[in-house]
Amino acid sequence: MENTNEVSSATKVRKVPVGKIVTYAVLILYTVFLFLPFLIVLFTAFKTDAEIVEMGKINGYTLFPKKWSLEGFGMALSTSAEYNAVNGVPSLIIGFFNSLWQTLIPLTGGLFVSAFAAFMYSKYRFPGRKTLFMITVLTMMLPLGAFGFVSYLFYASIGWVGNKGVLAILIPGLFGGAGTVFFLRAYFDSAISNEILEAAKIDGANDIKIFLMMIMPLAKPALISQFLFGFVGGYNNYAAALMYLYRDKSMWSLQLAVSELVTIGSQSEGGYVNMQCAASIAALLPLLALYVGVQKYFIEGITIGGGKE
Amino acid sequence: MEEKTAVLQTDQSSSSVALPPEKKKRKFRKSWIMCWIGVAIPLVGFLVFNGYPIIVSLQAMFSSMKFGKLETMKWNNFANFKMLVGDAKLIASIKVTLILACAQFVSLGIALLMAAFLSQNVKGTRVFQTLYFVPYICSTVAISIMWGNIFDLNGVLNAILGTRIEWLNNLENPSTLTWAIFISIVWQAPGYGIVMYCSAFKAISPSLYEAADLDGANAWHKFRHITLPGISSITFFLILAGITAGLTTFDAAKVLAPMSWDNFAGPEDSGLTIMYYIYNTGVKNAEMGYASILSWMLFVVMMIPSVFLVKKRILSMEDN
Repeated sequence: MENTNEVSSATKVRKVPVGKIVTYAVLILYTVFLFLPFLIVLFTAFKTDAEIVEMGKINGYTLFPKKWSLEGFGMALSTSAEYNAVNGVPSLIIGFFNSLWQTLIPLTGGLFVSAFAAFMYSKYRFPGRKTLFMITVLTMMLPLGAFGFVSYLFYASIGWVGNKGVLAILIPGLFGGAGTVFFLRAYFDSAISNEILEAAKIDGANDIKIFLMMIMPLAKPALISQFLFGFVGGYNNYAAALMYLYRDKSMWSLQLAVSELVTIGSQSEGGYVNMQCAASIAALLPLLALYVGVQKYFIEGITIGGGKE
Repeated sequence: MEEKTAVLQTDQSSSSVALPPEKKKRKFRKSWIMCWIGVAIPLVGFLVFNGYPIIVSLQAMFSSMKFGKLETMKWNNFANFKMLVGDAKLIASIKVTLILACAQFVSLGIALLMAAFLSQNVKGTRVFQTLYFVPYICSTVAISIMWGNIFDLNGVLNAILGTRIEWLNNLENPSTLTWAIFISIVWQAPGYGIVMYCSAFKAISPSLYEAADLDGANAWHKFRHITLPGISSITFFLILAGITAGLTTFDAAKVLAPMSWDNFAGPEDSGLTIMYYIYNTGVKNAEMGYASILSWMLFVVMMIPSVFLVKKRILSMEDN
């Protein structure tokens, strides 16, 4: 069996070098399609607004700036209230730290809650177990995205808008999510054997201790993937921030701060395209840096099925 | 194994962690309380933060309110529904949304194609795969700015074509805005599918292809009878996710087609998706009744493919 495998792959390589060249050509072309826009934005961010407008008029566009300038970054990180800075702190800086805590609190809290529920479904027998799990799966399959904006009505009625809007961002996530429960339960079913739990039980460990000291460490790969995808989703979330955080500038998330800089730009004459590009880079950099460090877990996370909810 | 379960079963005071076989009549155990609380928290969260808002929106469909305040809700004799008749913005937004939903299918095709190339026997595919996933983690707001810059009056596209067209505000041909959003989606969406398809291809045993080779099967037959069944469940999942994502497109439209002072998202509303319209009606203009109707319509439309596909999937599972 293995023998034929080797032979066939060896002949493939020798027989079709043309195919190999085509493959590389396609792979590289697609890479260019994906990354050239990044470069365009990066270099535009270092141009002056005047250059962008003047060169546009005479069709003298160049990829590299004629004169390298930090004008765009200066405006994007301006300490003036005109550019949405609060008490002299640029909106992008505020936005970055807000995005961090506004994402991490519901995400970590929710992961613990979901993991505990998944643990109960996976390793315990109790009345209503099957029914409640069926309900969880059903809620997961509903396309609830359609109600994203009308939920505002409910949050407005309990006062979680305006200055208290951040509650609408933080609290619901703390209750965990059906998708995460479903995914972690499947993981516990397949990856954590009942025997070690029995052994721990005999050693006198209680349920909470088993959960914290055994289950959570054993479920690390699944938890990491859930965490990373949750983090990307929360950090890049725009619609919720737009609804609930807009009124209070000190609570703005990074995406909101960036999009408001675009609004400022589009209301100006030249567009301040360099500032818009600088803001866009500022929004992208933190996650790109994270990705470089942990890209392995992202790819693995998708492969074990933990990507989308 | 047998012994251990036996030991634990005699120990009735302990909790049920050892999975004793389910009995017909179970005596109440203290540990059940912990189980119920544990599994109830996510369900309670769902009821309060998803279920209840949906019920409120159901009520809102038939009522009018002042400043979007629940206390002022009043039955209004289907006035909200009457607004549906001849709503040009709704029709415009449906058109735009359908076009943009197609971007998800194009992305799916690209994902399949690129995964096929990545599965060739060449070096460095792992690096390419890692690079192809980058757009997926990028914020849509930032990506929209990026494409906004490319389609800018002074941007690179006009430079290449030697034109001076405002692609995002093209009064002569408004649909260029829709297609700009389309391209930005096609740029961003395939990464996830590429990784999914790559792992699906890897899971198909190469011996199947070898057996087919021995039987003299051609490339199409191999694709039709080995590859396709191997990737069908992932395709099914990606289609469902794609439809959901496509019909709820919002971020890109909001950034690339900012609302004008007279309430247009781009010329002739060519950047108005349904979600954008719902946002503008409900959150911005505080007409939550009408926004609720639109949300429910969108919900029902999104339910159709998921019910259909889930049903089909169950049927095909029974066949096998």
